[in-house]
Amino acid sequence: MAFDIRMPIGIYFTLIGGLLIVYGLVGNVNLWWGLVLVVFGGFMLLLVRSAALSHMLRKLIRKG
Amino acid sequence: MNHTLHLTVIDWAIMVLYFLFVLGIGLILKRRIKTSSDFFLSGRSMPAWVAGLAFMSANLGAQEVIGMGASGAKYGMITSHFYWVGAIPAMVFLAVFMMPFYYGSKARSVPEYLRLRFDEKTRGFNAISFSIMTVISSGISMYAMGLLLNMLLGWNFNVSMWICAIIVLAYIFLGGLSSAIYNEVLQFFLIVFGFLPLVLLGLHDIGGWTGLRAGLAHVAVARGFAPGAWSESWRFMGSTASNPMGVEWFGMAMGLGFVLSFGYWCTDFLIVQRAMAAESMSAARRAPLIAALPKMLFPFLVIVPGMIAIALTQRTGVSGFVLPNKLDGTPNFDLVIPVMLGHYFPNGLLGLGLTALIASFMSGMAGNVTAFNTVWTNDIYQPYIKRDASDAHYLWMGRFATIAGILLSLAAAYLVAQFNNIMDVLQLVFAFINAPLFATFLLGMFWKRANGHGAFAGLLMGTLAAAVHHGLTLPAHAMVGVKGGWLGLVHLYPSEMAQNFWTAIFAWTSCFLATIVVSLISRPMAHDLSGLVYSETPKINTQESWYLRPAVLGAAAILAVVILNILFW
Repeated sequence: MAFDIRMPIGIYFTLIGGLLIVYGLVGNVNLWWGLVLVVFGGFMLLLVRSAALSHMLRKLIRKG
Repeated sequence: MNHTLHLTVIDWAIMVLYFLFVLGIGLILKRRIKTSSDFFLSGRSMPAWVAGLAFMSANLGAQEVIGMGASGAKYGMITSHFYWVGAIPAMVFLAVFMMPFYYGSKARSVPEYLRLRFDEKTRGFNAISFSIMTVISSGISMYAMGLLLNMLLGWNFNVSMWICAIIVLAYIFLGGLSSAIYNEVLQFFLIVFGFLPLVLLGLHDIGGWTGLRAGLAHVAVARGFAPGAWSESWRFMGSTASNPMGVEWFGMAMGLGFVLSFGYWCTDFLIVQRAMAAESMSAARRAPLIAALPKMLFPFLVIVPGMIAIALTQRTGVSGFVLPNKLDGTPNFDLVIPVMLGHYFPNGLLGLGLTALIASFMSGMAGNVTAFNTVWTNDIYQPYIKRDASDAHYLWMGRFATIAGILLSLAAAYLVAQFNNIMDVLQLVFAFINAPLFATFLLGMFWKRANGHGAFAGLLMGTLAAAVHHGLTLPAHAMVGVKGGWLGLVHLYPSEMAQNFWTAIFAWTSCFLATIVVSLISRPMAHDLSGLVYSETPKINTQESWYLRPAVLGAAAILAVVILNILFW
């Protein structure tokens, strides 16, 4: 399958969003902006997942 | 006043993670680079949205983020003209009218299009001047980054510059243009999410848009202008004396809105290369239009923080915000964005903001290096040094040119550090060369009678006209020399910006007229111009839905920009 840039973007923003949330709780803009980043990162990963799922479905239909 | 920022573990973690991801993308893409087309043009495989965001991000260098923030503080809302007048119309024109020729001609670069349309000497002139210019531009960006990181974080100037240069070198060397483009998409989102909280916190602090306008009214009155001069974009453009930029509407609309912006967005290979890497003609045409949407909203991300900063200085004591000064005591507007980051961001968010700042430097640097390695290999090395080598050899040369481009950029950065004035002169010379360029392309694409002799003579005449105009004029309060007046003084401009805009107008007009005259008195082009000239190229019959057609998307972008101009009139 082709390289999908949404995957590394999703992982990076989810990671740094998580870091900001943790820091916001134990280190509140860090907490709130961390949540925004996690939502964005999660959305990107969801797009990748749905693209992968539809790709898999297409393959199955073609085989069927 | 000390503006050093103190980083903690979380700031470092965000920064180091970014560097690791950038290098990881380069490593993943290394396996996909098998031919020189993969390396220089991503194998023409980029989806429209990726090419579009990279198109936008390649322009997000240091000048954009730091420079536009500085201009926001210095000139206010008038700075938005660099987007709503000086970018969007040109991006739409490129997508609707010019991209079919760039993409359809199968040219690998903008200079190569000039060879296909005109002749070898026109290509050589453009390729050599462009190559030198990209290296110098990249060097200036590196120098600015090293200086800024040294000032803000106390990092060693040499170490910070070399680390960023090596990271950019690594990911381009590994993955070529694909790696640069994919990283530019990551950098785009990082810049948006890194600077957006700055705007939100700043506006919240100053009392929203109403509070900002009130603060800016005090700024304007204190400097002898009408209260709205910092918060409105067109209302005070009637005369040069009534706005802080010192430019009138005609100079702005023609100099920036036509000559300079079309010259940059429609002919600069650094930008156009991203769209040329798209997977199809349709994607290549949509890329600049996709970029136009975030581009028209970027003033709120990079200009508004500067406006907030200058408004905050009116209430020193309450907010505790002070603009840093240069050695001569005048405000150092270039530090507006970094100082705002330190003012509003706690550790954690500060790491994100600084990473976004470094990402903007790196995307600008990568854009220059990928454009340099392509033009060097395809337009200088292949035609003039080693003509019939294998594709593997040109792929190797592309990687070698990447290393050379980075090393030359570093050398240029050290040259700036040692001889600032030499670089000012060099930049000025390249401004003369660039100003007339769009006239050559416009006539080349839309007038089949334009020929190689006409194009070459036009470029030389345009460059000469720019130099003569600059040599005979001077901005107010400037010294004779690199600022102008070195041939004598015929006209005094109210500002350097006004002089730049009118220099561009003179250069473009001279090139346009000289190209027409010389073309008419010399032989027409003998070769087939299909795919290179509008009248000789079959119309594109697209199968797209009507709302996805470039003309419709372009009209929507222009309409949106007109609305923005009216809202902030």
